Amino acid sequence: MAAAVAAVTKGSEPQVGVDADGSQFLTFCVGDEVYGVDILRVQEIKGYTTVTRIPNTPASIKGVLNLRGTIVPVVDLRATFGMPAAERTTLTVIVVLVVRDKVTGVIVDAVSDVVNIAKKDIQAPPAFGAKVDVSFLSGIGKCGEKLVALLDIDRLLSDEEEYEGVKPTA
Amino acid sequence: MSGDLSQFKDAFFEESAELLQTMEEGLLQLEQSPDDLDLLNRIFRAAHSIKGSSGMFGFTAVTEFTHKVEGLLDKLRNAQIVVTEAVMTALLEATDGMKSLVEAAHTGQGADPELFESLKAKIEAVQRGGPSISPAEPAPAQAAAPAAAVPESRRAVGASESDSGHRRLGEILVQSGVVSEDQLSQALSAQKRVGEILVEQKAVTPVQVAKALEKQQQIDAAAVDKKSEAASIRVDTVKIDKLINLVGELVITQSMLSDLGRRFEPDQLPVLLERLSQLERNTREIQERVMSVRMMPIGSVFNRFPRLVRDLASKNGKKITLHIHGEGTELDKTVLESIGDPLTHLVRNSADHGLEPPEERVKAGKPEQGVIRLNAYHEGGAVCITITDDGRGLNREKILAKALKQGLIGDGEPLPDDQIWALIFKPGFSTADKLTDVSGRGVGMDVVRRNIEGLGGSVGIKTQAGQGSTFTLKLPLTLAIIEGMTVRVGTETYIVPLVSIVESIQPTAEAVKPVVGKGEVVEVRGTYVPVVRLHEAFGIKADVTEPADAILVIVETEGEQVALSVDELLGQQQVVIKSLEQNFRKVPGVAGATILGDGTVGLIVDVRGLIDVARQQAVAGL
Amino acid sequence: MGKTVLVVDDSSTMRQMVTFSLKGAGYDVVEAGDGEEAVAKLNGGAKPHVVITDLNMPKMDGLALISAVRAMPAFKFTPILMLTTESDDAKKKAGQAAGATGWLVKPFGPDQMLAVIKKVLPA
Repeated sequence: MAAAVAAVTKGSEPQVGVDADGSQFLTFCVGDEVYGVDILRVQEIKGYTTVTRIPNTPASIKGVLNLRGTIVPVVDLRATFGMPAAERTTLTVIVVLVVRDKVTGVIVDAVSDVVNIAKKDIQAPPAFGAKVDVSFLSGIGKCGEKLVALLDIDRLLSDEEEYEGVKPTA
Repeated sequence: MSGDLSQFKDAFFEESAELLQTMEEGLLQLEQSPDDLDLLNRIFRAAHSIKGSSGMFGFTAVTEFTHKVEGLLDKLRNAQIVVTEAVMTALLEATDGMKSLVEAAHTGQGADPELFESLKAKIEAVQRGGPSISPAEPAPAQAAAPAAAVPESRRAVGASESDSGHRRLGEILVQSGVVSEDQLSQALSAQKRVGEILVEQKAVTPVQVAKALEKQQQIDAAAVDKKSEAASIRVDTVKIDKLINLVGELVITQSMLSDLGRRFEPDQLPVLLERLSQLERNTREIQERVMSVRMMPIGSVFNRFPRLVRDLASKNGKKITLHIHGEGTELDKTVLESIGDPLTHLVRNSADHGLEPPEERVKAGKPEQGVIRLNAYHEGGAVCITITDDGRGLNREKILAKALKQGLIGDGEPLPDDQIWALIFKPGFSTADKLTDVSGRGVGMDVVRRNIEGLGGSVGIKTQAGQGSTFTLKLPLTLAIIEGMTVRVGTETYIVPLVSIVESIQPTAEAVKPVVGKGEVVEVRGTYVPVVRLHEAFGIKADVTEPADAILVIVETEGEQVALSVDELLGQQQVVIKSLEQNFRKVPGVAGATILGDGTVGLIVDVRGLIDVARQQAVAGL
Repeated sequence: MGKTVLVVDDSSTMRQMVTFSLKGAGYDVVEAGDGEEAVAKLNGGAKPHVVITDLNMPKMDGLALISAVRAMPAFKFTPILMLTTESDDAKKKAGQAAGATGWLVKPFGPDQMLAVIKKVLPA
């Protein structure tokens, strides 16, 4: 009995480094902008590898890749945000996210940092005027002097899933 | 029995299920050959084993009821009564009763006592009613002898409490002599359920309680479902021994290879290649054997039908013979588990609606006895299951009228037969107005088709008015591995399932002919096959865009042939199917993905879907 | 040295349970699914100190097995216990006539079984 109690206490030690009223975000660049996703949704970061194109899917779906034996779709955020395609560089990486039990990779130009953003520093997304469709944003976070567009990845990636049917390849 | 043996309960439930199946099959056969004493002994032994083992676990309800059944079987064995329909019906119902008692013991729930009283009464009635050879010996209601060795206290609280060493308070009190059994049962009957108490306190309404109870049942049912999903698989030891041998060979090959690698000289290249090809052989064989572990005979699904057909026939006042063939045909356990319901549906439809009542059959000049045939066989890499009846066949006019009424087709639209029959698979086709009996075939047929197609299979119909119908289910042998042809289009690689490939040709320029508004056809030995340009359907930048310069892979699906134009054939290989839907979604024209030799992903072509994609694009004017 | 018990029953559940209890008590166990298999095992070199057999079995039943065992010189005096569901005297008598040493009525507990074995097989 005593051993069990000890084990429970050990397991419930507070996690280090998380502010009580904020969250950690992984920030990355797409074009000139800095975006952030909740670090808890990030499974891993992977160097860019060959992606197999899937026919008759929107341009934002780059294709699928082999992640240790499972097939994972890869989303090109540039295409999603309507930005022109960019050359692959050594900095280009795939951020692997978990969205409602499904694993999805997103291609970003470069990963920059993991930052803490307190709740009070997060504002609602602007109603208009932003460069990207604000419906993909959950808020704008302030990190020192920099502004980080926080992505609502559930909405961002589920819109892709709803796409059905055959798109003629004009 | 002490908690020690609870670990064998799963074995007991598994064995009981098999024994009950043996009993049911045996009883159905016995009806055909009532003098087969071996058969009767086999049935008796099955019941006897269940009785013995259930007693060991303290499932007294099972033991006592089975004892009654065994008594009746014993009378049959000693020729004290003879096989009649009434006796067989009683025995079959009793087998069902045993089944539900065993299930109740498994889930720890009580069984409906009224049902068992009526079953017991039935058993006793046929024992008395049967032409007894020795009337001097009336069937004495035998005392529950097998329970004698069970401690008194355990019997008092019933069988279901003996699970997992859990003991009820009352049981312990009785055992320690604090209260008597009578006191306990009085206290138990005075005890109220939580729901009743809460209603009395006006904390909840009876309706709320009823809803909560309903929910509780659903949760329980779901829990049982989960349990059965995690079920184990029984594997023939012969299969396992073979696997062990093969793994042994693999280990030897591997050690020879590493030995060779340690002191490798360039001139040993032929030896290396030889060893590598041995490794390939080993791997392939192991792969096949491992897959075969999951393969199970379809008989385990077919064996439910004799009983179903017998019951349906007597319910509908029809005479039906069921012929079963190919029950040894093996297919993947996952596939097997999913075809039970669709098959039941089709057999039920044949019995209920396909076959006519005896008088109608006689009027039509057919024998009174209708015939349903179930057949399973391998064809290429697939398993075919056919359900054939010699009934009235599908009614063309009625189906058309109904489809018109439901707006599934336009007025005066001429339709080939195939497409008319396909109408019965449309969702909701005949859920409305079942009474008009459009030969009833539409009821839930959309579900049948969806289930089968969900397994990567297809359903076909052949029917002739007055002669009967045949439903053919074509199913993949396994869901995990397929034999495929790797093809290249531009820089992309696709896999075409070998099952669908008829042949691959390099057409002559004259063989390819344009058809106005329909792209091209290619002439293959006198028949014209429409060409589907894979690069167009899938939007690929191909090296070769003209079919006349391409390689044409002739594929067939649902009796329809098309020629896929590709740049190059890369070779034939087995591929492990990976799901695209696990992390993404279904993609039209793509059956799944696989991982190629270089670690990248290759897509597997869904031939049916691809044809549909190409058609849609043609309609869209591309 | 541990004593060996030959367990003969067509029900795998019964065999597993009996074997489990016996092994727990330090016996070695040889199993057979019916009379024929049991005879084959005996001919094949199995040397049990006790035989426990069910009566109702396919191919060769318990009574026939008991007679067959008794007919083998090596096992003429080996104790044989039969398992039965009935406390039916006729069956018991038939068993004893065939040469059974004792019987166990199902359901029985492991302790009961071990006690009976001890009785017929003094340590």
